[in-house]
Amino acid sequence: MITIHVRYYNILAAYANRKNQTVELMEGSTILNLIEAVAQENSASFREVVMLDNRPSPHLRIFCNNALVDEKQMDSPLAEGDEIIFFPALSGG
Amino acid sequence: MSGFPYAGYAGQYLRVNLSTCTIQKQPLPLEWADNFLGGNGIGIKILWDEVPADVNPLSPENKLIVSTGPLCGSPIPNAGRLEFIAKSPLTGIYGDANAGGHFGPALKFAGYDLIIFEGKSPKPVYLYIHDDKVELRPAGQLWGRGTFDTEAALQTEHRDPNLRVACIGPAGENLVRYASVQVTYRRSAARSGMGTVMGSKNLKAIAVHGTGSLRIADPQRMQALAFKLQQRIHDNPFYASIHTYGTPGLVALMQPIGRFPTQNFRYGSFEGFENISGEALRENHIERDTACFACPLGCDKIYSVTEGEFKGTLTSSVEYETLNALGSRVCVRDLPAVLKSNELCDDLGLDTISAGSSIAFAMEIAEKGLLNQEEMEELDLSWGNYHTVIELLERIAYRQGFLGDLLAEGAARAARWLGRGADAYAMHVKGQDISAQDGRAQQSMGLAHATSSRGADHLKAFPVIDETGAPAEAIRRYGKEYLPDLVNPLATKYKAFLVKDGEDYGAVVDSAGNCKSGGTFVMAEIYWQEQAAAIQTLTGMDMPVERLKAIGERIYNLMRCYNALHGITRADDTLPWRFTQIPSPSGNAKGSVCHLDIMLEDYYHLRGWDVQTGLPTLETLSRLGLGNAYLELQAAIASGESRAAYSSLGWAAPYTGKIKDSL
Repeated sequence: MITIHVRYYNILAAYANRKNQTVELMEGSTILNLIEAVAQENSASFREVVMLDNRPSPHLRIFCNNALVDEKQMDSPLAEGDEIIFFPALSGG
Repeated sequence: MSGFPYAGYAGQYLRVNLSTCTIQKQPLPLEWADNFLGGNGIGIKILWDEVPADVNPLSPENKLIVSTGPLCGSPIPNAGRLEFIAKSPLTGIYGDANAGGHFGPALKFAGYDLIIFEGKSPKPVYLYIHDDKVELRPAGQLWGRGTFDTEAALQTEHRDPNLRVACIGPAGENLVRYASVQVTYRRSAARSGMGTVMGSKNLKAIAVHGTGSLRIADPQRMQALAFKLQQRIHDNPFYASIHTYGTPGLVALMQPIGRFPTQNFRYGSFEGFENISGEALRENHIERDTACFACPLGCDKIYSVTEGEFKGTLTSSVEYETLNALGSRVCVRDLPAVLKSNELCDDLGLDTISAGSSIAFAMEIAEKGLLNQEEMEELDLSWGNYHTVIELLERIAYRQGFLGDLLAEGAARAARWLGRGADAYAMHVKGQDISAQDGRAQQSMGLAHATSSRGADHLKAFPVIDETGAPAEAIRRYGKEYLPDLVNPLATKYKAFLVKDGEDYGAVVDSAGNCKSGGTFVMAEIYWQEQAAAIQTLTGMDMPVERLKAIGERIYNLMRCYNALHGITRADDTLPWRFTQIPSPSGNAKGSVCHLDIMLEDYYHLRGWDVQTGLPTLETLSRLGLGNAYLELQAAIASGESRAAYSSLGWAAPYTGKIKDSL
């Protein structure tokens, strides 16, 4: 098992009712697996922001250890202690 | 005015000569609406025609244009914006500032599309408008008062709680070069020193009450279109985050990108960011949500401080920019202190961005030993000292003491005045302080700052699609052909395209009278197609998208010509050394610099401007119906008029020399 540290901001923190979450995943798990796991564990409002048609929403913004994650990296394996940050659709300044 | 052929427009404007105390009501020239739409489009047309290169921005010969656009006051979402346009006292070139609130629609409802102020009143005055009644009234009793007090006093005097006021505070009166105009209710037209121009004319305020309405060319279609666009904005994925947190919600997002300027742009992330985030604001200080005219988004909030040293603070329009300029830029992590600073800036009438930047400049030159003890006047200029920040805001607004007077000039002028190598720490482009973006972390923003027509500014091009990468949005707006580079914040390819498109569309938005923070840029539910449809449905003008694009391009080219008239060339489309030479120290941008020159080449090609000089060509200007502007510009360059104007701009050019230090 690996431990992943997850941080939520903006409406995701409000919908999850928490700012941080520690998630245990099987070794070799990917960012996509993580998204599916946290979508399952949190509220329906949270899921609506994170998922679209059973896929990660294209508007979800994800950082892995402070690096932006693009669509192609969804299947990249996570490592023990990785920090993942989730933002909803957010832009502007 | 019924004689004007297009609906949506009031059809007349006011020309107010403050020197002679005369007010003329004049029909809106059809050519202005046809070719420049309204807002800052008409504004730049008036500046080009009436304010030549040798006019000092603080002289009576400068003109202040207060302008709405055709959409302003209409049911189209976010259509309540107002533009102030003048030659800028901060930059010496084209200047403008935009505000939301309710003043713009009130001016339209009173029956005027715009006001041109010229000359200088011998004594302080304000302009009072109640529909047909337009008067200049004495403002001696208001002079010296803050903007909150001024607004309340005018509403009391006229027994009219719905009186909409645009006014200046002590900063504008004392000619601080980045004084704002505060607009009912507590919205700011802050950039470029438009409040300074009001102060130079002894114009304390404009107060308006309009009871009329707008004529709509096709009311049924307008109702359906407005409803559809409202619904689309409400359903947009970006709605919830912006509605709930406003722009302060961006603070946390910018942190991992490495685009949250800290310590005068030395760093791109701030360890105290959680303390000053949008989340902390909402959790600890929210009073209530509020909104500008016809806005379904409601990004504005009113915040209060209920305990501690800053108890009693009540402030609004706390933006991402505020939290940066008065927070991380000067390393302040105490949120109540930031809110107090924002309240002070609004009441004194100061642009928070330039005020924070000037103080950050002072803190850095103090750190570098470029200020002596006597000059620091017993202030502790250490990073993060919010008491010093608050004290300096007051001193700047009243030009008190050496530092107050120096920083009231803005960092770029202060650097020139000081010498001593201080220019390396003035983070500006063309005299205007850089707002809270960093071209190292988002290449397009670097280009946007360099090419903005009012000096450093993110809002002229407002390239948001590559902030964190938004492929779905990019495909919706531009198709698939520009992916993946267009949405990669660190890539330079296609960024000139993004910036040019944004500048042209932004010129249209600012001229039509709707909001860039609403449905036009971030959500783009009102993009070229919808904007053209809205203008056509409201006004009855024949407005295919291609015509609207030509209007945007025409406006931006005339702004460039106006700046070129003042000697601006490619050499001024630059960024300070930190952005192009020092790799970003943190976040997604770690190790990246802004590759400005590569993007500039692309940009000039796309614009049809000369790549060597950065000046619009005859072919480009002729295509846009600006052939005469080309001839006038070339004549000014040949006669030396432009060179003379450039030498009087007054700011130290951004430092682009060898690296000063590693950070």
